[in-house]
Amino acid sequence: MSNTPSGGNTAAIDTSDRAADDRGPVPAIEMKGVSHRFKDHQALDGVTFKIPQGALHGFVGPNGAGKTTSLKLICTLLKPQSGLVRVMGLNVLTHVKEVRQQIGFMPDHFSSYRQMTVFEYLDFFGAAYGLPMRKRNEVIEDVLELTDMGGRKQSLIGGLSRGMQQRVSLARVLVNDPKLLLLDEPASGLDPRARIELMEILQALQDLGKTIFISSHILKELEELCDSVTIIDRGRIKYSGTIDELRDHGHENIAYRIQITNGEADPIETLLGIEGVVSAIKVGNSRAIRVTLDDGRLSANQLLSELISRNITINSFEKEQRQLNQAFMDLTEQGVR
Amino acid sequence: MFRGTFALLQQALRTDSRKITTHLFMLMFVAFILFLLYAAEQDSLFNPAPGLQFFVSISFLNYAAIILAGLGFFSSAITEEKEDGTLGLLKMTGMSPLVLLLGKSTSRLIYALLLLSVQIPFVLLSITLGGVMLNQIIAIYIALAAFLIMIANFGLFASVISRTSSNAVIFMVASTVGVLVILFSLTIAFSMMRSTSPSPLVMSIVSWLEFIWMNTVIGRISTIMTTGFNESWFSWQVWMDLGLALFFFVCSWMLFERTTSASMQSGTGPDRADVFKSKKVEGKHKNRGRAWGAALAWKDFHFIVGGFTMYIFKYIVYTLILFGLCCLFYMGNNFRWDMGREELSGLLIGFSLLVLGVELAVMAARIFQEEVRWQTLSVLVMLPLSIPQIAYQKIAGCLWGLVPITSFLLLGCALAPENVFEFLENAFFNEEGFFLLVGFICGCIAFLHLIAYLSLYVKWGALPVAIMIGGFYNTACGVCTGLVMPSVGGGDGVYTVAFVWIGMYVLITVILHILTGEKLRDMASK
Repeated sequence: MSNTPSGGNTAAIDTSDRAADDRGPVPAIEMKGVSHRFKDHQALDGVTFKIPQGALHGFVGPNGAGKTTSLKLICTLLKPQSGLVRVMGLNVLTHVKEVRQQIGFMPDHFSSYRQMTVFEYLDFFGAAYGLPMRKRNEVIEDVLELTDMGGRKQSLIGGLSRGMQQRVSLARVLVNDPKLLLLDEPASGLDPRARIELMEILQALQDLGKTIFISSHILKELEELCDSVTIIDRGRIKYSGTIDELRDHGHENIAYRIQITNGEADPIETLLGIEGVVSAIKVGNSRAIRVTLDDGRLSANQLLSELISRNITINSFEKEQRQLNQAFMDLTEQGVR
Repeated sequence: MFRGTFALLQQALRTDSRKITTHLFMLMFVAFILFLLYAAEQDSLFNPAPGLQFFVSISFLNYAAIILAGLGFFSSAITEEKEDGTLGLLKMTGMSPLVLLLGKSTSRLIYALLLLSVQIPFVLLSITLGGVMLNQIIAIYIALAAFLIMIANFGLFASVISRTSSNAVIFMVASTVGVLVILFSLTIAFSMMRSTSPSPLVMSIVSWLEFIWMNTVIGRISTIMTTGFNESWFSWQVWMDLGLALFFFVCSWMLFERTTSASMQSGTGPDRADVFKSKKVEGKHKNRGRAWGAALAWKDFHFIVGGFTMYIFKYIVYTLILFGLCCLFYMGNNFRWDMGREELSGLLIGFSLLVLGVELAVMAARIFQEEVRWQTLSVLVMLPLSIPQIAYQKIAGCLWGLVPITSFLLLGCALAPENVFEFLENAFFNEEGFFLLVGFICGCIAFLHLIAYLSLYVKWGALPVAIMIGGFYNTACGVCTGLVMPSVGGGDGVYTVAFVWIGMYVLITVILHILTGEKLRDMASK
């Protein structure tokens, strides 16, 4: 997975498939120098990233950042104006049909035939994907079980709740057994329970070996669900990599939470007295202190050794996890798009 | 109270004035009038009263335009809000039903009245061309304005009580046809009774029926066009139309709350909150069976055409209409059955062809519009099928819906096969007949393409707009053909003109075919 921010000049359009000398496993999604323009708006500007197969990957960005455009390019709804887009090693420009067989796309709006029953809807899409009738029966039973909709298969879609409709959409996406699922804001408009249940289904799908690419605004959920994330802003990739790496990305001084007892002495003054401690601030009303260290001069081990050598009792010590939304705020720019 | 009305009115007028289509439509309308004026001027060498001819053309053009506007423009005043799920939001602003109805209907009415009034300066030129008086022009425009107000309120009423715009159109057409058939039947029946047993009651009913016919807008136009017209501008027709308009408006007002109460919760599409609602939604889908291999054909057969249930419904309705027509002929023939095998065959074939045309036009308007409405295009184009494959499967599904009317057509042909063979012989072994038939079929195909293409742009009323554009194109080409015919002469010249007509239809079809594909791709990617 690349974690190189990209942008700037765009490459010429590339129609090649994965070359024989490309090393390593075939990525599920590969975008290289992709640019796309809508009239006077540059939606994507030299976007480059790769998603490995089997990943549950989050795609985050502010409104108008280019998330939906990227998704549409990947799922062949748009043709890239320059650069290269490959899905499972197949170029989206030259292998449209094959790429469509490999992917299941769930758009951000709920688009379905409200007059159909759940079974008819899935049967219709199964037939459209060319599945024979007997196979369709099995597939429909499987996807309904997976999405926990087995009891509603004779219900009209128009009469289902938003959460149920979203499950039907997900079931529809799974009918042709795609390797890659592209989900655009799958949890928008869902209540907390439906949201958690959807996330559980997605995790189950990942366990079945599917690659899942989720575009979302809900950072907290992506943080809990995804292994890796790509951040896009104003058509440029700001970050692409694991969530753990993102937490430390661009973070100059590592912070720790510590609780100490040093007799009658003020613990903050004690900590500030250690060389390499940049700051020590009390956290709210608790006894914990947030300590930032100068990475070059003092490591966590050295801090602990120093405290022990001074006979200071350490009640607790933990590395502070930077929240995804803080990293997101640091990486993306302000302003209305 | 009127603050809300003015807010809605202002918003609607502002939106309309910003749309380029509004101005293009007005331009097209005026251009057509100027074109008719030019044709009348060219015709003045052969016609002693070209002004009257021009004025008659304009009057009937307006009459047709008002009917089409009623079907495509006024009938969606409230249903468009129902379908977008925004009616609830409007009601939550605290606007009363009266304010909402006035706000939603007046903007459209003003727009239509403006379109009517913009013609008057041009129409006044017909006085110069001769055959028409100022008095007649004013009377015609007052009659048309009253008719327009009535149609606008009828459309509003249909829009209030219907769930969707298409339902509103069906209601308008069905109720108008129903009333006309009843009036027509009564007229024939009582006219017959007057000649056989002229009682005072029958006489008075007949005179009332005649009065009604005289005071339809068509009857009124015919009266005004007579030489020496010197009646009041405000005839019974004007007052009757205004009275009906008021009646429809009051009915809309009274029924508004009842028919739109469920729109408060709607946010995702049409409600089932109309007076025609069916509570048996769950039981409606039992005869659809499994999806066919051509899945899109199956979907459109069941969800656009109506499936096998609609077959039964169509067979019953068409049989009843044909039976009604036979009864009318029976009554019209002095209560004597005088229809032979050939006449019956002619009736069946004529009726079938007419209904076939209407069904095809309605299908063309709905085939892609439904996908746009349900935002399902992006999901459909993600199937491993090309756009043409998607389109052809959908067309195939819709064509299955023509089975009932085709069986009536075949029955008509089977009743008098000799006439059918004679027609085919004339068409295929006579050059003029052949060109006429090919030209007609090419024109129909181009027209269906135009409807399908327009349905991607026009939210509602693609069919009326296509009729207007088609009418404009054919009239303009017809006038041009009339002008060039004397110079090309007979013989081969006629065939050259026929070739040009057919060629143009083919070219238009190809262009619209490509444009429709491009537009579908574009819409799917959005």
